Amino acid sequence: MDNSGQEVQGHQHQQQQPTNVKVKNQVEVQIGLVGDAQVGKTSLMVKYVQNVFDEEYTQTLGVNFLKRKVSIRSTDIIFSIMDLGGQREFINMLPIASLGSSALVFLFDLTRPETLTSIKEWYRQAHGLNERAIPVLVGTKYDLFVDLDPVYQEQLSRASMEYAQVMDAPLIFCSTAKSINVQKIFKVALAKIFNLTLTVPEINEIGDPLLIYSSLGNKRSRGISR
Amino acid sequence: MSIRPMNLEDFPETSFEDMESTFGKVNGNEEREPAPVSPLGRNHGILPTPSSVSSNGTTFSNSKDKRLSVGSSSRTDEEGEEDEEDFLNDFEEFQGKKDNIDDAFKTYFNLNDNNNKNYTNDKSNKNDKSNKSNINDDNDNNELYKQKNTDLTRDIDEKLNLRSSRRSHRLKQQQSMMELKPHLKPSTSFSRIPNSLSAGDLRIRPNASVRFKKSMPALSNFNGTIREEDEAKHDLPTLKRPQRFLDDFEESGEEEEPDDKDFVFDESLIQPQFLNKASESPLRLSPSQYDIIRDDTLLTPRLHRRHRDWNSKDKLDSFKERRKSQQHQQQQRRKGYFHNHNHRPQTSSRIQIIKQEIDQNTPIKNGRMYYNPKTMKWEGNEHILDKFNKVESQDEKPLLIKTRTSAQEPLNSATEASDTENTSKRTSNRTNNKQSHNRIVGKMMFDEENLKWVNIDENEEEDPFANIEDVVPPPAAADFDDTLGENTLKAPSSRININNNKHISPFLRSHSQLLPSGASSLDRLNSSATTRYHSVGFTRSDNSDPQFQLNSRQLEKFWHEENKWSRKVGAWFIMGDSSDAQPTDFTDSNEVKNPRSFMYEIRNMVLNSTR
Repeated sequence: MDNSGQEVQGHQHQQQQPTNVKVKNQVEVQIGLVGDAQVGKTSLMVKYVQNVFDEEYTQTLGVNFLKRKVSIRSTDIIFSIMDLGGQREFINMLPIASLGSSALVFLFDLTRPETLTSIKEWYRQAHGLNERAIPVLVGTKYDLFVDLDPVYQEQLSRASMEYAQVMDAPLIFCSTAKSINVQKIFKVALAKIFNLTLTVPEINEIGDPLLIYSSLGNKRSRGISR
Repeated sequence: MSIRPMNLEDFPETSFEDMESTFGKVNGNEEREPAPVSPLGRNHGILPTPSSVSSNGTTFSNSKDKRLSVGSSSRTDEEGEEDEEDFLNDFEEFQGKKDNIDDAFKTYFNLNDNNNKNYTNDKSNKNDKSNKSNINDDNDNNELYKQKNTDLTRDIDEKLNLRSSRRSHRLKQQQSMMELKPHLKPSTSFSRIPNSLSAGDLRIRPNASVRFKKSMPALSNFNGTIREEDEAKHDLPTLKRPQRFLDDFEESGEEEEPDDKDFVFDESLIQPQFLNKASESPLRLSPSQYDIIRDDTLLTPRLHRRHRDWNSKDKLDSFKERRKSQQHQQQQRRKGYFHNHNHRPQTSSRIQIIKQEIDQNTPIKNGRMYYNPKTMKWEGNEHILDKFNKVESQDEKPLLIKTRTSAQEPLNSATEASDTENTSKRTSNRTNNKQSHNRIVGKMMFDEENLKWVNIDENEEEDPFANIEDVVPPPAAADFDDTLGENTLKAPSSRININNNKHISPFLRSHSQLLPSGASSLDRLNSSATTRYHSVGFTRSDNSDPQFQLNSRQLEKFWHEENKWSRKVGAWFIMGDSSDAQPTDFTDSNEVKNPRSFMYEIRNMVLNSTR
C-alpha cells in the first residue's frame, strides 16, 4: 500500500508579534481535477479561485495549477488545485494531478453522457495511482442540463448516482457559469478529507443541482483512523 | 437541514421559544440560499448553531459570540480573503465559536502519525516531510509516545479514547496559554468534539441553575437537581452502550468479505436437484398476471423523484452561490480599513501551468500502474471496473413485479371523468375483476376480499401456531430504567395513543404510496379501497392489550412538552382535527391541494416573527 494519500502537509508558523502571540497552522491540501476534455475543469478551478467565468474555451496544455487560501480561524488551508488537460496526450501527466492529492474531483459534462461513461476509465487510472484520495463526482454545466428532456435528466441523474455509489464518491451537479455548487465541491472535499461534518443541506431531488455527500466518501477517512 | 446526533435528554429544559427562533433562522438560510449565514450571523460574524436545542437568548452564549468574533474577524481581515466565516459555518465543527478548532486538523495529523507507523517500510519522502513538519511542537512528545506505544496500549487507548483526549487537551492548553484566551471547558474530551461546540452545550455544563432559567416558572414543583443526577446515572450507559455494542455485530462491506467465508463448502453435498439448472428468472411468471418492469430507482435510493416543475434556466438563481467576499470587501472599504490589508496573501491566485517535459511516448511506471504510450492509457487496476459493470449488467438490475392491472382501467383514466366519478368507477371495476377470476396456486386461493391466501379446502386449514401465545409488546421503549429498579408508573391511558398510532400510520402510508402526490383531499376521502386494504391491520391492535410503563420522569417530561407546545401553537389552529375532517376550512386559500399547507403558514409566521 502506498502512502500517496499522505500529502497533506502541516506547518506551524510561529509569528512572534509584540502585541499578541499567535500560532498559525498551515495545511496544504492538494486536489486534482480530472475528466474528459471540455467538461469544464479549468473553468471550475478559475471560478473557485478567482470567481470569474469565461465562456471561451481554452485548452489546457498540461496541468494547470492554482492555489487558494482559506483561513479557518488559526489555520490556513491552502487548496492546491491541479487541473489536468483532458486530452489523451496529457494523460501521462496523470500522476501529477493524482499523486499527492487528498481528493480527486472527477468531472463530467451533464449534457454529454459519454463523458460520464469515461469516468470509469478516469477512475480506474487515477484511483490506481492514488487509491487513498477521496473521489468526488461532479457533473458540470448544470445550467445547460436543465434545458434538456426531463426523461434524460432523470436517466442521467440515476446513472451518475450509480457511479457515485460504486466510487463511494459524493455527487455534485454544478454550474460554473451560474455559480451553482462550485464552492460546495471544495467544502465537501475538505469535509471528507478531515472528517468534518458539513451542515449544508443535501439536494437530492432529480432535476435540482444534486448535492449528495453525507453517506458517500466516508470509508477512506474512516480507514485512516484504524 | 442536517440534524446533529445529540442527546436530547441532555437539554430538556430548552423552551420552545428558543428552539423555534434558531430553527427558523437556519431554515431561512436553507431556503436555497447557498450562503448559509443568517442576518444575525452576519452581524456577529458567527452563525447560530443549527442545533435545535441551542439558544441564543442567554447572555452566556451571546457574550461569548461577541468576544470571539472580534478576534476571528480581525484575523480574517488580515487575510483580505474570502469570507471565511461563511465557509466555516457550513462545517459543524466550526460553528461553535471555539477558537482552537484546529483540533480537527490535528486529529488528522495524529491519525496520519498512526498510519505512518503502520506503513513505515514504504515511507515516501513526502511522508518523511510531513512527519517532520507535523505540528512540530508535538514532535518530541510524539516520538516519546510512539516508543512507548505497544499494540496493547494503543488498543486500550483507542477504546477509552484516552489518547486523543489527552492529546487534544494538551494542545488546547498550549494554545490557550499562548493566546491567553479563556476556555470554558478545557477538559472536554476529544470524543465529544462533534457535539461539543454548540452554545447549548457550553451553557449547561458549568452551572445547572442556568439551565432551568427559562422554563423555571413552569416547573414550580419540580426538582431539577435530582433529575440531572438521574440522567447522568441512567442515560449515559443505557444510551451509549447499545451503539457500541451493536457495532461489534455490524457486517463489513460486501467487497471486503468473500461470499464463501462463512461456509464450509463441499460441492458433493449439494442436492442434485439444484445442480446444473439454468437460473430461473422471475420472468417465467405469466405475463398475463404480472407486469415486469425495470426499477432502477431501487439502486439510487438517495435520489428523490421530482414532484415540482422541472427547473428552467431562469429559475436557476435560487441555487446560486453568493460570494460573501464581495459584500465583505465592500463593507470593509466602507469602513475605511480595507486598504490596510489590500495586499494579496502570499499564495497568490495566479495560474501556473506544468507542461510536458518528457515525450508522451515514454512508458512510465508508477506503483502498480504502467503508462502505455501506444494506447495512451495507464494500465492496471482493471478490477475496479468490475464494480461499474456490476451495476450495468442486466441481472443485477432490480426488477419490479406488479400484479397486472386490468385492461379497462386505462380506458377509464383516459376518459378523465371527474375525480370522484373516476375513483368510484375504478373501485367497482376492481371488484368485478376480483369476482371474475380468483387466483389459485397449488391448494391455495387468493381471497381478494380479505387480501389473504386461504386453503381451497377450508376444513384442512388449521393454524399450526395455535398453541403459541402472542408475544406482548414490550413496555415503552425508553424504559431501560426498569432493570435499574426505578419507580415506574403504569399508565393504561397511554394505550389510546398507541391504538391511535396504529390506526394512523398505515393509513398515512397508504396515501403516500397509492395516491399521486397531487391528489386532492377529496380523492383521499373517497378512496375506500385503500382504507379497506389497511383494515386488515387493525384486527391485531384490537385484540392485544399493550400496557405502557412510563416512569415519573418521562411523564413529567411529556407534561412539560405538551404545555410548551400548546402554549406556543394552541391559539393558531384548531387542535385535534386535521384537514381531512374539515376540508372547507382550506377552500378559501389557494392551497387546497396541499392539506398540510397550514404547516407552511405556521413556518412563515415563525420566520416573520423572528425578523
